[in-house]
Amino acid sequence: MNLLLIILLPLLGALLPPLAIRYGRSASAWTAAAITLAALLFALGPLVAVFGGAPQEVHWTWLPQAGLDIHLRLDGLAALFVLLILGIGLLVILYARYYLAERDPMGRFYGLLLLFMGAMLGVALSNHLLQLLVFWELTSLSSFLLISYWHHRSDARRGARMALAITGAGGLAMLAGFMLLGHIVGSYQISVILNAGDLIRAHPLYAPMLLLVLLGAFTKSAQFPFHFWLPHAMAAPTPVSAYLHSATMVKAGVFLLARLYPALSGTELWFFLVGGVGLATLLFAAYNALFQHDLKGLLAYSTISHLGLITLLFGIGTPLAAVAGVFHIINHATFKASLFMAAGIIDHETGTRDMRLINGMWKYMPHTATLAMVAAAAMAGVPLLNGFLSKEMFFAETLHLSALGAFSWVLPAAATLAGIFAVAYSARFIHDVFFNGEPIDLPKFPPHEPPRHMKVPVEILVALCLLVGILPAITVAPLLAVAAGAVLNGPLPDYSLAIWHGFNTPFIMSLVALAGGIALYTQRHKLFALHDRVFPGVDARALFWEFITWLMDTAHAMTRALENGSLQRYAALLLLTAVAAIAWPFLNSTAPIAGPVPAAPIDALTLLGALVMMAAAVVTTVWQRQRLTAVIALSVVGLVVSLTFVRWSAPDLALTQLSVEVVTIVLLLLALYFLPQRATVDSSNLRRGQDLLLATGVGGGVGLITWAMLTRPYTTIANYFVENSLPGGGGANVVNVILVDFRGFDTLGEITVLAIAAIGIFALLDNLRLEMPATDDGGRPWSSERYPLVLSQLTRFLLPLALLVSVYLFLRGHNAPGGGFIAGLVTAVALILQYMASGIDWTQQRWRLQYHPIIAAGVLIAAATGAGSWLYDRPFLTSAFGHFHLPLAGEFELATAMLFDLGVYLTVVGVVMLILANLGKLTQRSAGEGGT
Amino acid sequence: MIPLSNYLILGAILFCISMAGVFINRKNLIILLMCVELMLLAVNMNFIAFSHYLGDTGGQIFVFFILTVAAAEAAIGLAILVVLFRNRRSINVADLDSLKG
Amino acid sequence: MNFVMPDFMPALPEMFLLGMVCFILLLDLFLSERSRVVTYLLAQSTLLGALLLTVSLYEEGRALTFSDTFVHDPMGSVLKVFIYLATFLVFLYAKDYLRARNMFKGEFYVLGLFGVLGMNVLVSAHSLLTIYLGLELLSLSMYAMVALQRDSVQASEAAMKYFVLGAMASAMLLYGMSMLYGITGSLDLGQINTSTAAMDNNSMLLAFALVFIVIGVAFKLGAVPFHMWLPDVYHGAPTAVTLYLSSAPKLAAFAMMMRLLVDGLGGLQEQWEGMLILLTVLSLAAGNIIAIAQTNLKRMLAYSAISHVGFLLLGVLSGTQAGYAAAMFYAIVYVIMGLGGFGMIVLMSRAGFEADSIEDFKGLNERSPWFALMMLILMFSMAGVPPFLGFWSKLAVIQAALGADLVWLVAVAVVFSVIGAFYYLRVVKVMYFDKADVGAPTVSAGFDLRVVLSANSLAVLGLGLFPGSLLALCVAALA
Repeated sequence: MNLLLIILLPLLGALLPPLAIRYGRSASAWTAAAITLAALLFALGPLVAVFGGAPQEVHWTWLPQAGLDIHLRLDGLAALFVLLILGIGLLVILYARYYLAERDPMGRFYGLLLLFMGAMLGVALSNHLLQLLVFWELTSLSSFLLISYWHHRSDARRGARMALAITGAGGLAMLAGFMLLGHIVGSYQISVILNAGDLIRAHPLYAPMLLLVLLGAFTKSAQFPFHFWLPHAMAAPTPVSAYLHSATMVKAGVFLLARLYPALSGTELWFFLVGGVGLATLLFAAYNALFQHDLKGLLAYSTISHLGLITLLFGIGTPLAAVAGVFHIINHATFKASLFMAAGIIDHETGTRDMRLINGMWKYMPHTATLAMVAAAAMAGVPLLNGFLSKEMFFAETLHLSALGAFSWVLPAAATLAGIFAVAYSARFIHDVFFNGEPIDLPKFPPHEPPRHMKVPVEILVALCLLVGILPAITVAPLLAVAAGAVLNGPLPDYSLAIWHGFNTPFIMSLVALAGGIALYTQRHKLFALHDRVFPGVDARALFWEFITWLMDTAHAMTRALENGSLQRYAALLLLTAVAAIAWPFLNSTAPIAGPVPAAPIDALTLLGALVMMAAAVVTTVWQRQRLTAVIALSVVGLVVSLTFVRWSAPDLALTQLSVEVVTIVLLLLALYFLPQRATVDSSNLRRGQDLLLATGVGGGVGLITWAMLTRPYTTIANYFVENSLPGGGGANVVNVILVDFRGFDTLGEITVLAIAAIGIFALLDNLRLEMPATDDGGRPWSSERYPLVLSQLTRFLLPLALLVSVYLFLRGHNAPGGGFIAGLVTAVALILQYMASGIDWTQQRWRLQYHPIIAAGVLIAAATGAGSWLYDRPFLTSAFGHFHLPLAGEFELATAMLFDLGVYLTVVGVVMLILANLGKLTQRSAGEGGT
Repeated sequence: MIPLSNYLILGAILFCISMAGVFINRKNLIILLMCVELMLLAVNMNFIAFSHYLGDTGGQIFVFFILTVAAAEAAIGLAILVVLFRNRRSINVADLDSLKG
Repeated sequence: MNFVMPDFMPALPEMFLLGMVCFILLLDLFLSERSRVVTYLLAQSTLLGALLLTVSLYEEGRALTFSDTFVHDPMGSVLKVFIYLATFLVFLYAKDYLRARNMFKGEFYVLGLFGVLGMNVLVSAHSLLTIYLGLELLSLSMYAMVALQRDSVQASEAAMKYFVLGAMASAMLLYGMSMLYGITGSLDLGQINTSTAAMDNNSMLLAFALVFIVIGVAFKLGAVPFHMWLPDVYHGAPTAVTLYLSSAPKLAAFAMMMRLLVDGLGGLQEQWEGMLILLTVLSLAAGNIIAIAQTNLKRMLAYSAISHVGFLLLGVLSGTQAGYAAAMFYAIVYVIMGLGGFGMIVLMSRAGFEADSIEDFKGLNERSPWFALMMLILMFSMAGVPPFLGFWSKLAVIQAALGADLVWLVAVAVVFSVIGAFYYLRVVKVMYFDKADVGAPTVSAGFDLRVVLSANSLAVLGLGLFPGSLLALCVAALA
């Protein structure tokens, strides 16, 4: 439980400092410090146990479906990080109290800092990969918010964005790596994974998994070539730099290397990848650090270089190297945090961080200068300071490597070279800032010592550097032992933390580094000139932005290619993809296209029908520019289709097709009335040829499929509906019986579709006015006689007749072709005829009906019939029917289904009338104005 | 036995013609709508032929639904066309370009 | 021989919806402009009523009815519940927006509810015919809704594009269905599954039918290369309608895919898996890359939706129960996030002004830190950053894909989601770092919108911390 509290305290406590700020800035700072202290107190018990050799472990179920539980584990490595995070965190909180200016919102700062602290503790304590990842991303997020704390500064914004982009992306890559790792081991629990090293290394997915995991670690720890975000993150307030960008967050990457060391290390790939990247980073950053003029820039590159050093140590892969790596994590955290704090004090007091301006600070702030110089000496690896010890171990390790064969001299040489640069930039930090003449044009002058308490954290850290450097065996040894033990997940190698190991090779390397570094520093002016000449502004950041630009360009190009707004392009893409998709199985199949079934003979009548239909279809397509012709040709196709239906013994469908066709044609004609009569001239011949080719391709493909399908035999499934039609539903018109009885539910859905169409059209067209053209495209005026007398008289005579027909169709529905649907259509057509012949105003005076209620009533009746029969515990829409006889009309059956049919009828009439009336009304007023 | 296959081929040909229509007449919206209608007719032919061949009425039912729903769809399409025409004074497909990436 | 007794009970929510819509349709005729709010309230209570009915039927277990054309199962019930909830939020978010644009009419609600009915039918479909019906119920409603803002050139153009492409896609789907019917001789999904699983001499023909059917499904989902309608329609439609389009219909599209490909053609999983893989890769690539270039937020979210479809497909194509559950979880999570995202645009819009450009969010942090934070949560969640909800959904599908040994596909998904994070980040950057233009929109929305939208965003965080119950629900629904 204590373990969870360690994480939860800062996470939840993050809410408090912003609240406490009401009681003053100190209150806010004290709250943050108190929370950190409390977390440290809670950690004490488990820490003691860990030092006693008993790792602490807790676990709760959280998300069993995703295999995710809360697993926390405090072992030596975690203990080390908990101490670093909380200890340095406490110092940073104290430091920031004095560092932040009056106008900076301090509550927010502490809140975010605590949030980060909680996330980082989560990373350290997680015993589950995915849970670790969650906290990992949370550190990226909170660091983004912390870097952008001064969001009025544009460099802060860019720095924050870049940091988030790089570390966030790395985190996602790591997620993939973790999932692979979990997949390989079969568990996400880290303690299980650590013991499955052999299984992992032998797995075929080892290489991709390692690569992805390392991507996450390298981006977080700013390893080459992802290092560039870190110097730009220096736009953050200095306490943030000291805490996140030197002591803790960037250490998360190397923490991960250490954490997974037993599971992943020990292969050549690991050695070359981790060691290579570490070495490159070490050298590259050490070199670059020397040429920074920004105080924090120098420290940032030096941090990168030291992280490279740690990475290299883990990459080497020997137990001793791993111990050295852990040791250097501790040492680097102490001296670098103090250096950043010192740099912050200087920045705070002088108003600038440019080392070309800040000179001779020794005179103004001797106390701070002393502290900074000791810390810088530790960074350079001067004896009697902690940096020296771990560096010495590093040098020793580079000598014992046999993996490189004849090139084994490379590593010690490179290490020494990096050491030279490290000494040189440390010397620059000391000499340039504190000596080297008088300050130049400082924004704040004269600088003086900072507030007393601002120096306390630096003092503590520097004292630690000294203590560890002089008395390693009684200060850091136990911590190093448990931490290294946890990293190795096995017995510790023999090592000694003595200051003096004799006059051996590593010591000579150290001396060479010291002497070489100082020599290099004295020649710095020549070197700066050379550097500027050879590397004018080579910067990986530029590459990052170039990549972003390239990405944007690609995105724009893809947009232009795929989304140019052209419906033609979209339609072509849609159909072409379909063709390609069809062609794929076709080309891949070895089976012959035609199956074993021979083609059946064709009779003359069918052939004629087919020819007429094809001709009409061709006419539609070819003469489409004359709209009227096209519509007529289309209707011919429809008619032939309905004849085909008759041929297929589906007379009811034929009737439906016929009436639907009529309504559709009326609809089209109404629309054509006010749309341009002729289409504009179409595209060029080339374009048309191209289109024709496409079309033939599509058509040919579909034709082939059909051919293939038709020439294959297949069996069919039982004939349930036909067998059951009369006895069950009481009708012989199969389709109608099925529609209203068997599939009443679907029919209900269908009339609902109609209702939607009607309402949609009403919403679109109601009260809409369109100007009607006074003449057709040829310039001929429309006939002034809008409603021909003969037609209007004739239709008035026809109306009752048509209504009668529809009633007949309706009643006959169950036995002969007909039914509510067709009857509705016939009624509607009859009524529409009235509109067309006599005009809307005339008709509406006599036919005062709103169509909405008709539609709603229709649907409701249909639904209620169904519900009613269900209430009486009868099957949906099938219930009592009896026969009755009407004179003239013949035998009728009365099923409750007829009531349902009535609903269908009403809906259809209402829908068709609503649609057509709304389309017809469009031109009404303006037409009247134009006509008179 | 009525030659089924010919009807199915007819269906396919209709489908092809309508696709051709979509391609060749990529300029005119109303023709585009008609071509879609043609496509549906082709589907109907398929269903009817299969239905007969299989002796199963399911296909016929389906056709009935397609017929009516297609009519409703066409009606909506026309209404949208009218609104579009009123806003743009054109039913040329190429003029639909106010929305793009 | 007697008919199998079609039980009315499983379709009770649908019947209730239908009855209520007709009632609202009638009532709305007699309402004056000022009392239009009654329609709104009725529509909302209809959704809540249907929700209660569906929840009360949840325990019933799987049941077929209406000649086996309609199925009631836990997956359907869960999806329906989220469809109601999403639509409820859409109506709530859209109210002020519609009012300011003279679109606060009964038709919006009636069409919206009809659309919900269509989604329900689609979710519960158990035959090709029912699927077609549900699809058309939904599509026709949506075509009309997009064009509802009659004076807008963009809206009518969007509606036209949507309509033409949609009609073509459903014609292709139908062609595929007709072939499937010809091959198996049945419209019933269960029978189709038995026949297709047993058949293999017709496998090439089946492959053709499958192609057409996958095209239909992919179009509805908006998977690349059948996505072209989606950005234009999202962009051109009034934001209130975009909100509607982007939420509940995604769940219906997911259900349609499950019904057709899993219930109906589950035996052909090996064949459609390949097609879905292609769709996944293309959707992830095109969606994420093109989104970067967008300056219009609605468009950007449209491409983001496309890329999310890629992830959704990743879950489905793994072909396991866990994969289906993960995909369903993903769909639900996406809907929650999408509602928040488009809801933010509605929130920022006011009469005569659409806040749909990314520029409009400049400096939101200074004007309204609270809603900037809400948007930040939504954007991070969409990008898949832990611990937000979007991360867990990505995790679930990736796990499912790994379980099916689709390692390289997972790698592709991760690479593109890294690129995708970039454009979400841009919105955050604009809100937090850029200076607002003079006259930039302020948040002046009504109290209910503010509260519910905040709750929506906080749910993304809250459910992100405790995603267990939602995921458990999805797993149970598909068990």
